[in-house]
Amino acid sequence: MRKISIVVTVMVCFFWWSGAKVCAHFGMIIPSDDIITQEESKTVTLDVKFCHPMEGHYMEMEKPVKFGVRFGGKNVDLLNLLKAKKGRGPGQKKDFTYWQATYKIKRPGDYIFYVEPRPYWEPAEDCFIIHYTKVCVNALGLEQEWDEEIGLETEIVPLTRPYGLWTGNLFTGIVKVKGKPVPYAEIEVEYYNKDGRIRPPSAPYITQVIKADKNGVFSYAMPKAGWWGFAALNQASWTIKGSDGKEKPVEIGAVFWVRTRDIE
Amino acid sequence: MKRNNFTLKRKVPDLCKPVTGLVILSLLLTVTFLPVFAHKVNIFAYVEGDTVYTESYFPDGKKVKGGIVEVYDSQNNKLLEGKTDKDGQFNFKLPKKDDLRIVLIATMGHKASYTLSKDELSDVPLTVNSNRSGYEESETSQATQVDLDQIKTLIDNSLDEKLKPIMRELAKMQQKRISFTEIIGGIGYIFGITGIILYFANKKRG
Repeated sequence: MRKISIVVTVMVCFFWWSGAKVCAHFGMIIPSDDIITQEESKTVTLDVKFCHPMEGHYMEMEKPVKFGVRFGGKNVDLLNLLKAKKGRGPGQKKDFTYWQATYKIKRPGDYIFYVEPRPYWEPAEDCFIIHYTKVCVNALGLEQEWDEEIGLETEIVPLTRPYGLWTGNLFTGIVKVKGKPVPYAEIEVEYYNKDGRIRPPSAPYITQVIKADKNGVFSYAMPKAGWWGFAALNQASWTIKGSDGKEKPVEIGAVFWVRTRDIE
Repeated sequence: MKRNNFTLKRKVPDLCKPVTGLVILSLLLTVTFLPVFAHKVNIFAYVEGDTVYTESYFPDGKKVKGGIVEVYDSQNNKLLEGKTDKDGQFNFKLPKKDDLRIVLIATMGHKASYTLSKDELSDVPLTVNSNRSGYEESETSQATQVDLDQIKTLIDNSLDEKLKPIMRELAKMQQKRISFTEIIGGIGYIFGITGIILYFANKKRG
């Protein structure tokens, strides 16, 4: 009888564990459009969030440290364009802060928007999280500079042009920390399940996990139309003092968002 | 090279002639049509002061050199014409305050056009009416433009807000399916409760 009860307890623990939802944090910048053509409005609205993209759940976001755009070989500060907004995901009981900017495109070319958020304290992981996030918007038919680096602490530099992608296309990028490729870096991939329509059959489906090769290069084929986030996670060489006075590790994430459309 | 020509000449009569014709035609078609798609030309125009600046380029950033630029007004009257320089640029004095259609004609049938709408020119004081009233006019038109934008975002926002509950309901309806994690969790609870009962039953006996 005792044996049975032990077995049962072990099973309980197992099921409890597998039943728990694994949530991956993602910094987000989602523009109203990723390709601006001549006929369209030249105004882009950018939502800057900290989310669990597959669950569509928001987390509270403080005003970022940096927000800007790289265009014409220069980083331009746009921090004062950010306005605080409130929002919640499907099933969330209260509102959370996110940020929104409205930017007017003036010239043709690639606009790489980037954000460096304030460190986010995650008690569950006993660490701070900083997701350096990027997205590229192409304007008026000039496809230039989408592969440029911003010079962030860590970033994904695309090897695939990051717009005009069909569903099923392969997105390839290189993970860098302080400008150097990270061999065998781990990358989490999530679909932005905005309206909660997708129900992953089990936890591993929520976040896809891939690893880069020895040159820090990774690829992933995106199976559905919409926005896809790639987060390459590393631990920073530095620490931040926590509220308990102890030095805490910092998870630095390089995040890149791309959009796919169905071929039809 | 010579040998290749020779074999080709000898082989052609052996093949059915219309077929060869078709093959050659399709080859020609792919050769002539593919570059058109791969090298779509673009023209971009903007106004600064009373000058219109145009830039003509291929998607990869290469400039269109010696392309013909034609400028038409809203009545489709050709106002002027020019050629792009080695940087793909062609600039001209603003001929009139009207919707301007700027057409680029590059070689090999490449063509693109850009429309500078009147309201984009609104903050440009033409030399003729650069007096105070002209200034005021441009300011008010700018203000109305901003207002329109604001109204649009306001409507969008309130629509989003109003539709939210409906969207949420819709999303919920699609969510009613019981997920795998929920089933597993349920089984876990059954085992857990049984485990606790068994544990206490065991203890009593022991």
